[in-house]
Amino acid sequence: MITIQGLRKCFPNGLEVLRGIDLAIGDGEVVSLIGRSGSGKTTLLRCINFLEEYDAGEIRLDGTPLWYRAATGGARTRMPEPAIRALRQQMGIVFQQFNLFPHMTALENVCLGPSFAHKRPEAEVKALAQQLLERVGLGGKMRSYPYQLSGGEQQRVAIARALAMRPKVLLLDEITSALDPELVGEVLEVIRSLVLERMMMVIVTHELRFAREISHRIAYLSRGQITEIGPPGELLDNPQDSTLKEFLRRMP
Amino acid sequence: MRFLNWLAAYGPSYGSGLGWTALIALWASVGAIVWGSVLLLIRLSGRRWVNLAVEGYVQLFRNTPVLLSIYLIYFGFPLIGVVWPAVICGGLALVLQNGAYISEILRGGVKAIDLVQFDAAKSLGLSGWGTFRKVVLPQVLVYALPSLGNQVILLVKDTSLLSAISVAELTMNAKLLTEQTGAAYEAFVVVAVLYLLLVVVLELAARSALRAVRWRPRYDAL
Repeated sequence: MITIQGLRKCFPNGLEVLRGIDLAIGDGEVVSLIGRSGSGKTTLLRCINFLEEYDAGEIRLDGTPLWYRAATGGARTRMPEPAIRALRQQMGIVFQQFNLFPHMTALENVCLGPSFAHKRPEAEVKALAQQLLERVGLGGKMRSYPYQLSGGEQQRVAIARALAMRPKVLLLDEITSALDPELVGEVLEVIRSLVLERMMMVIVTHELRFAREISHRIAYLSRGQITEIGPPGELLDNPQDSTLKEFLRRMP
Repeated sequence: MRFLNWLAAYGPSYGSGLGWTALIALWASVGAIVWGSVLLLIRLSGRRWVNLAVEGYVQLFRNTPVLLSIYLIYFGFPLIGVVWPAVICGGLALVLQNGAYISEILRGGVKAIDLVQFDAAKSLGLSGWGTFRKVVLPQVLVYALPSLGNQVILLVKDTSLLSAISVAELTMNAKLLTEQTGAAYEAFVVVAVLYLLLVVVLELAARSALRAVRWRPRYDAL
């Protein structure tokens, strides 16, 4: 379970992008973050696995505080780098632009994390990676390089790469936004199967239909705050917040 | 005819010079690429004062003749009690100088790496060193391969400067033959042709290495 309390973040230019976020995500729960661009949803997601630092607030994973340690006098310090790495390995993230390593085959991309992090024998890592690639429907493309794969295939490799860390939570950052419409389905299909396995997920998305279908709860962000949160049916069909009403009216 | 006769008589005696030149060129280029990579790693680690030190080093070697470094090492090291063979001293000078250039070349290659890959590396829990070894260096060496090949060619030609400290490489070889036979023109023409052949071989090797790369970046930089 992940609990986020009072999360605040300012960009160096003074823009306050997160203004006190409170959110708890239970085991096996799927929470989607929606909102206009600039509302802070991607930043929130990237704070969870500390790709972004934050100025105040606390994030816990199963009760353990993450990323910062309390220091004397109410100040805080960053955890040491090895501790940060070890914690990051418990979380998987999939990016909008796939972010695959172009010089590695699909199989090598998936193997890199576990062979580095877990120091397991190579054969074991490879077997796991093969199994994951087969699972996302890419059993026949293990030796392909990213440039030889379609966007949808690259994104499925990226999902397998994240799963190879055996993460407790999967963070998905607009994973279908860079895909051609006809390739969106194959990626969402993989995510559906993860929902069935009760994988905890936080999803930033613009696909409201998909969010409605798979989320247990949807959170609407507006100017760095969660102004409304609830089950998809309630939030999408009977919105209370006026900016959310406006946001939903403009969505196709 | 005179030239052919000369070649038949003295041609084989270039063998050892050619061998030395190839050997020095090999170890000095490998050394320079390794040293350039180390300098790159130091620069990417991003500490300000360390960066300044490396920057200073690069400027120093870029802006002084390599012959000067050769002399300084060969005649200078004994003053601090280090007596190394001339081949090592000369090769070291080539490594230090070309390493400086190569670190600059590699730095250009880093710019070709898609920055988002660093997010991915972080998210997989890779350390800075792990990211450098597994993500940065393999790509940079490929992006920089054409310029790297050029630099190695320059290095190969600069091995001739080692003749100044009496290393028995090709140029020295020709110098000695000139003194023995008095045939300056013949002796140096043969050397020129041999350098040319070495460089052509290198050029072909660099090209086929680039062709052997099976991956492509997201955008076509190769």
